[in-house]
Amino acid sequence: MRVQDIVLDEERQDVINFLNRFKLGYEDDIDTTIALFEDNTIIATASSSANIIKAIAIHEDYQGKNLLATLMTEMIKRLAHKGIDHYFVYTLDEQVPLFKALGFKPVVQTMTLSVLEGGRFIHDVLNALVEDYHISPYPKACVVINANPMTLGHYYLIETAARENNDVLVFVVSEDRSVFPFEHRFNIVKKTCEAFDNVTVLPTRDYLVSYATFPKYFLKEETQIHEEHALVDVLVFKTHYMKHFTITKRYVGEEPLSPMTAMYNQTMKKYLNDKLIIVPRLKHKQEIISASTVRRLLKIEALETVQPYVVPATYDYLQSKEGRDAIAKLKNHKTRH
Amino acid sequence: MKPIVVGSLESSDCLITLTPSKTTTITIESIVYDAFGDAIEQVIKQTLKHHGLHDVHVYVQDKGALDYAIEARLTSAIKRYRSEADES
Repeated sequence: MRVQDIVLDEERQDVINFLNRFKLGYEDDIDTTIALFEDNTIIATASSSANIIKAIAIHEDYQGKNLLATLMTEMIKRLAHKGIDHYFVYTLDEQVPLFKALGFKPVVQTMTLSVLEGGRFIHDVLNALVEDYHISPYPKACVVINANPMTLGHYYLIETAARENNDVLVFVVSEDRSVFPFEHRFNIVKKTCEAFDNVTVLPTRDYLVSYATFPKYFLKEETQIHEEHALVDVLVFKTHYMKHFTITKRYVGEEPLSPMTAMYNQTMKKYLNDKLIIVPRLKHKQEIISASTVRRLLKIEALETVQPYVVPATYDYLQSKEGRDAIAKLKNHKTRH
Repeated sequence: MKPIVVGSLESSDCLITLTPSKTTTITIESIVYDAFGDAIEQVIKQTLKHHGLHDVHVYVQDKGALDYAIEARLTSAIKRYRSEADES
């Protein structure tokens, strides 16, 4: 038996044919694929897309020989080589024990699939966050924003939550797949929230609206998603974040523009019920204030046109060298973020 | 610095991941944790001490490896960790 990295298109086609026999697809965001060969025939394969391991299949005749251990060892080493030490597996419920035996731990389970993780574990990651940011054990409200970039709409949402609650957490999406880098987005939100004495700004870390829990969120703007795509993220929030941070309410902006965010809101409403507070969007003239509007304007219009939409810290940033670099990047950018 | 991964998830072996950390921390996942968890931790601590390495996170996914297998895996991980740290 030999392990091989799949790089050539014809080899990849063999892997795709192999996966099809198990009714498994080969998604186009896959960046690494390996296969195990016996006499030049594929007997097992696994792939990864960033920190998600997927498209795992083992030939019927070779099942029960612990080839999964070989596949996972090889994948974990390749991920480490790319600097990834925290990884996820999306799999069917009946496969969960096999992954648990290799040291993976369940994160959440939906009706159709289970998400497991290895390398680091949600309980430890969130506890560290609670300690680092001195989070109190009392009930609080929260807002989760990407703030790409931070608008007056985000400000209005936080202000509303801060007015109606004693204690508010503002989570800024850590995943660095947006035009504006995390560090800049985070600093702008932090600076802006200094105006409130009951608001704590913190990163989401590896889970909330992250590539691992909501991969579809980072695809193209017009991507249609289904409830199940948003569900993992919503369940992670409900079963882990709400518990660790004693969150009793989540505030979100109403979503009349993006079908993807609308589906996310709808899924949250279904699972959080009255714990989800939907706040109407702020408007400038007739136009709804949203970060996507700001990005669209920055692409085609002069910088001044976005001033009525953004918080002062964002506007200052956009005028800085870092901000101008980000705008230049945005102008020749094709995906949603 | 990239994580260093040594070993395998095959039976009677272990997979060890070393990453830089503010303090020395050890996480052990083992199919025989109840019986040998403490013994594994001792081997890890002694091996780290022997090589004078600290401020790393040692993550062990153990599949029933014997003491000297764990020690050998960790020793080679430490060597690679050092050479990697020297380069960066």
